[in-house]
Amino acid sequence: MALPDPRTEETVVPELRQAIDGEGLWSFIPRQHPLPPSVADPSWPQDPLDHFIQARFESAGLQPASDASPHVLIRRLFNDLIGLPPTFQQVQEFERACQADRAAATRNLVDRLLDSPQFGVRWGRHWLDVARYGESNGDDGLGRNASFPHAWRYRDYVVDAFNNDTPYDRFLTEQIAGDLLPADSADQRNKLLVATGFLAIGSKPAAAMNQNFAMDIVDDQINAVCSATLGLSVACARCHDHKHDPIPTSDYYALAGIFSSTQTLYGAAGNEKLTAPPTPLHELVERFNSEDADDRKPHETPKFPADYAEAIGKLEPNVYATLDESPSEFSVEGVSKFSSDAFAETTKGHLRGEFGSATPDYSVAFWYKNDLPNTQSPVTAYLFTRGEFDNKQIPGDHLGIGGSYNKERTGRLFVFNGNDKKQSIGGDTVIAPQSWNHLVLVRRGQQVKVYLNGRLEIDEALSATFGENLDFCFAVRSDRMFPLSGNLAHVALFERALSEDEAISLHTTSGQPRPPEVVGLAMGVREAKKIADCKIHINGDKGKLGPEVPRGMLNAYQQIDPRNKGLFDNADLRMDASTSGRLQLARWITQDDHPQTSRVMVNRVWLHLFGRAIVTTPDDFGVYGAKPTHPLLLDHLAQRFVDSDWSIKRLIRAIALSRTYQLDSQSDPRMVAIDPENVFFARHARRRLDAESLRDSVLLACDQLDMRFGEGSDIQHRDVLINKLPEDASDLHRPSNHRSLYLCMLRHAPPAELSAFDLPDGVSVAGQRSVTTLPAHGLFLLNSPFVVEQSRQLAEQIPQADDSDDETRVHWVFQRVLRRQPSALEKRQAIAFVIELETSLASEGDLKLRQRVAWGALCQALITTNEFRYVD
Amino acid sequence: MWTNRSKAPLSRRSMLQTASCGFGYLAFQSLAQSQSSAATGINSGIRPRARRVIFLCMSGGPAQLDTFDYKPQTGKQEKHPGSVFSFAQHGNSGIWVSELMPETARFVDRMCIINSMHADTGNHAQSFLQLHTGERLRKRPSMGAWIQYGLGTENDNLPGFISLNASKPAVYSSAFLPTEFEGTPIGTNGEDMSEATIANIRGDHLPMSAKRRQLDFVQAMNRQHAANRNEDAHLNGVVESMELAFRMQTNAPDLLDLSNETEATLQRYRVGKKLSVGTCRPTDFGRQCLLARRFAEAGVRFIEVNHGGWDQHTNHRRDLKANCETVDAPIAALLEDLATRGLLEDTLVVWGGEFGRPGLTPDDGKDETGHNARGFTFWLAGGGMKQGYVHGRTDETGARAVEDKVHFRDLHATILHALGLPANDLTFQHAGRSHRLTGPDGGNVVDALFA
Repeated sequence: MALPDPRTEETVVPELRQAIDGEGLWSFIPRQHPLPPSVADPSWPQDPLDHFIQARFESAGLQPASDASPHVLIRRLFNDLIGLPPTFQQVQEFERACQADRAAATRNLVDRLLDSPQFGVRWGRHWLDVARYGESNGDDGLGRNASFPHAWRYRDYVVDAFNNDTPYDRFLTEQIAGDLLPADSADQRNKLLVATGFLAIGSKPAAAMNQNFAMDIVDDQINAVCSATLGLSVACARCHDHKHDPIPTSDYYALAGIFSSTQTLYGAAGNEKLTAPPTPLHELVERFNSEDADDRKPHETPKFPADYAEAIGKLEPNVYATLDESPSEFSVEGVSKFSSDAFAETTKGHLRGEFGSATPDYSVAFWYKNDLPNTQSPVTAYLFTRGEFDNKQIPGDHLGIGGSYNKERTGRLFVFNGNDKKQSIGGDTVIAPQSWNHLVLVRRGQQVKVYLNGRLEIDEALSATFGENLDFCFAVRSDRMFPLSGNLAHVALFERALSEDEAISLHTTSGQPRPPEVVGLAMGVREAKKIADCKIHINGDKGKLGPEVPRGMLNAYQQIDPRNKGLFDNADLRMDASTSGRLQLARWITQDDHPQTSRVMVNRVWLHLFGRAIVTTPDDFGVYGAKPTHPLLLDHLAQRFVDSDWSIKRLIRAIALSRTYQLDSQSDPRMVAIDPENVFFARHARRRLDAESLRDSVLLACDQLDMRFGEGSDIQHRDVLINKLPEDASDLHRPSNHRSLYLCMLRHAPPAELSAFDLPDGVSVAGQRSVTTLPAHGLFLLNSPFVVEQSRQLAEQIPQADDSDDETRVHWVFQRVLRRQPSALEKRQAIAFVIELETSLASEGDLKLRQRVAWGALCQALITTNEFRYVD
Repeated sequence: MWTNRSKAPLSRRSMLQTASCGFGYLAFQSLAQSQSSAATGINSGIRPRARRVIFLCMSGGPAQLDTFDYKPQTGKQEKHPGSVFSFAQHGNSGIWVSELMPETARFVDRMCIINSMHADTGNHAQSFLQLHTGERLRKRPSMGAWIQYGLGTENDNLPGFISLNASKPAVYSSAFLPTEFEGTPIGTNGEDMSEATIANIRGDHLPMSAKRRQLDFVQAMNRQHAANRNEDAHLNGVVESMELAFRMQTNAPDLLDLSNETEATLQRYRVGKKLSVGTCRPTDFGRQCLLARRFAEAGVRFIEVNHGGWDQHTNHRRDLKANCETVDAPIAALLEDLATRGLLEDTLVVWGGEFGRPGLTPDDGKDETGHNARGFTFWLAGGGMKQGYVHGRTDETGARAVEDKVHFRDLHATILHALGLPANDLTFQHAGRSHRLTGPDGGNVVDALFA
């Protein structure tokens, strides 16, 4: 069947027509299915893709470079596939294997590297650039930079996805709509929720005085999805139609409806509501929520079984009151209402009493509900004090819920021991206001444990400051500050420390379901409570609304090429009133026939393997972007990618095993003169190590690299404004020998070990990093504490046995750092350098010390060389 | 005939050596020509008025109609777009300046104001790139890199091109020009500049003499490495960059240290003053201006000083006021110091952003502006420019430039000309064709601006 000629069905506005004719909209045209072109020298190609390259460079009159030597090839493969250099031994083994059978040796090596867990670390980082990954918000426009303590889970998800070779269509679907996909296990469900972090980790402008805040988040999500997956920047369409841009404002708001029907869970935003109103986070649970658990309504008063009082009684509390009626055990102040429906209800009241003896060990257990939002008051509520009443120094244990005063305690339990010691210990769980919870505090000597709903929440030493005093009070601190606004029930005091089993039994016997243990929190998205189409915001402003646009995909495709109509026929894409449409959007983007999705990813992979992309604007396949230098090759690779079930590893494998990839970076100068930018790929590009590879290579050379996956993040327990701390934001970075991916990627406060070398800012999609040459790089190598310290570490390891002479040592250092033997000249120069330094440092200490300094200087020198920092 | 240096008779190695010795394109021309016995003199035939440039880059699009382009209401009944702030005449020249720039207005007799700038697009990123490189879409060498390429450096121990509070690498890039002409950024966009410094500028793990010996060893290896790779120009550029880094260790720390400035000076520049109002970011602009003066004194060829935040779409009055308050006194202090120290003679100060903004109509209650690339303002000072002079004109509402229009490429041509460089003949061969800052269309030197 002949394909319809798009030009016979003229539904296109004249300006778009112009853009199509000028090939500005090439990426919207369906893929071609080109056969590998014929070439003059048929012995050259190894893979069909080589034909496309060869045909072009032959017609440009270029001769290809020769094949890279095994020494060059192994380093290139190591760097490109896992971001690390090979060791001297690995180089030697590969060179030997190549002598026997180069093709087989290369295949084995490529397969081994693709199987290495380090592969995900390398390629995951490439995707994190695209995903604008960051562990803090970055400047919000009001000079605040809130931490994202849970963003790292998305990082780990991405690394796993690359290591597992998650098909790219599935990978995108999980990130856009993971929360809407079915899951077989809690683990899988957790993973899918974490994946949606892609939509939540963006940098946001402050909410204060910004009526468009919600749409700013939507805008970030639309831009991230469209730039990352389709290579389309649709930002302009937020405000106006652009006559040369294929995406009209109506299309933008069709997508906007999808994301405004989505709730973004970015978390506490540093507990500073001027930055962003706090949101919940995805709770990652150890086991599936059963249906019952989902139906649990935590704000409703629990229905306790008839034998609950008896069960508590078995533990022989010294004082116990259910509080369904006014208790006789306490003096009651300001609490007027007791009932079996809501127990004690209080806003400013409290309950007071005395212990029978001044026992140093004690326990207290009760149910409570707090009604106050977590940031409304400096401390949300004090629940219990043991210590002298009305003493201004407030000696004793004070159990409370944090508020706005200490942003790291907001909504979390803490125990404070008064103004003399001023010590405080706290928990991690943010407790939702208006939920009923069970608490047990157990003090044994100087150790305090707090159980929340039957789980250990706090377990730390805290000096006891109540002395011989017998006072206790509930629902307020002993100086009457920060009373509880809410309810209390089943309060019990014990003049002994309960065991763990006893403490937990106080929850178990209540008959209340123990909520599944929350093993972590994650940023992400879920369906909003209200699903609705979006009105056009005239000039992007919420104040001026135009007509409503039905939620949907980008319609422009059908106009540009009628063959794209098939993209919209799929029944799975229909939206109904009950869903945001994210899953349908993901399905639409990942259709095999989508003209851009596969091309964009293939182009990204090519870029990372060649240093130059086929479309040199990898995030912009639109009218302002570059045109492909090899359009047929792009379509050929995209088709293969789709045909191999969107396997990224298989795509990389095919390219890495091509003749083109394995060319030398060295070429005839005449060829370089014809093609200085290497548009034709008739040679390989020489490339500088990027920030992460440089640091990792230094650590590896100095035998300091910890190859295990990093765990968590330096800020995973800190909901703070990173630039408003007593310490400098740079102090948040902890020393680490893990791979650089695991360093804390705070926006606008990146780790000093990486920041000199063109890191992306994490604010917008960045498929390609800048490569600058600045004196700052030289200064980093000459002076940075990192390089100096690593060089010192390496020098310490140099064999010191008596039979090892300087020559052996120089060999050893060269092998370690440059993976080769020194030449005779280099050996002489190195030894001369070391001896000269030892001598010139005569005033600096004894010979041993001077030797260490001199050899350290040699190690640093080799790390500083271009040979170390550039990959051929 | 002005040719690409890499095509000249000297080898690349010796070319790079000369470049590092402070010779630029002009000197090189002379050298190359004298060696080929065709010496025609050391200069281009253009009298250099300026030796260096300080570019006060106002990113975001400063509102010209509320600062320097005075549009009085024409007296008809309906008010038309113009300014929502009041203007007054200043100096002997009687040039109108708005109430938002009281300190800068004191120097209006030194200034050469161009009210008829125009550019090609109201897209921030593209116009900002065009302002810096002459090209909207592709990565091209920045103006500072071209000027260094043309003139070389005056101080071997410092980068010849420094960008303070730079917004992104593309605007200080050397692109295809040799890498030693790339700008060195200090601080990044929007960052508080009060502590910004050059990272790792010091290190006391080795004495300087040992560090020198160490770098000699490294560079010997690097040169061998490059020699084995057809003298890869990029690798040789890295060798140069390492040398510069080394020399910077001795010079830069003192320059960045403001502790020897008097309290009065710090006060004049408003060092430490930081306003955070809407789009106006607290960046310590005063420190940047004082650093710019110090770098200019030390012989840095091209210094860019950035202040972002002029993109005040909403809350126009409030945010514009804050932006003006942030830059006004520091710029006045800079002009004053350059003048009293005799540096204004040969330093060209350039003020402006990627485009301007349409005017607000007084009393109509609106407080929101957009972008306008069809007419906006730049001003120049020093470097042989006319003083107390206004060039060009926009129409009565300031919507478009209508008289003596000056495009970015004309501004580029004028700046190169002021430095004694041939505006449209300062070229570099790359990818098979000749490139220049003024682009394929070339720029016109605006002769009327020169004194």
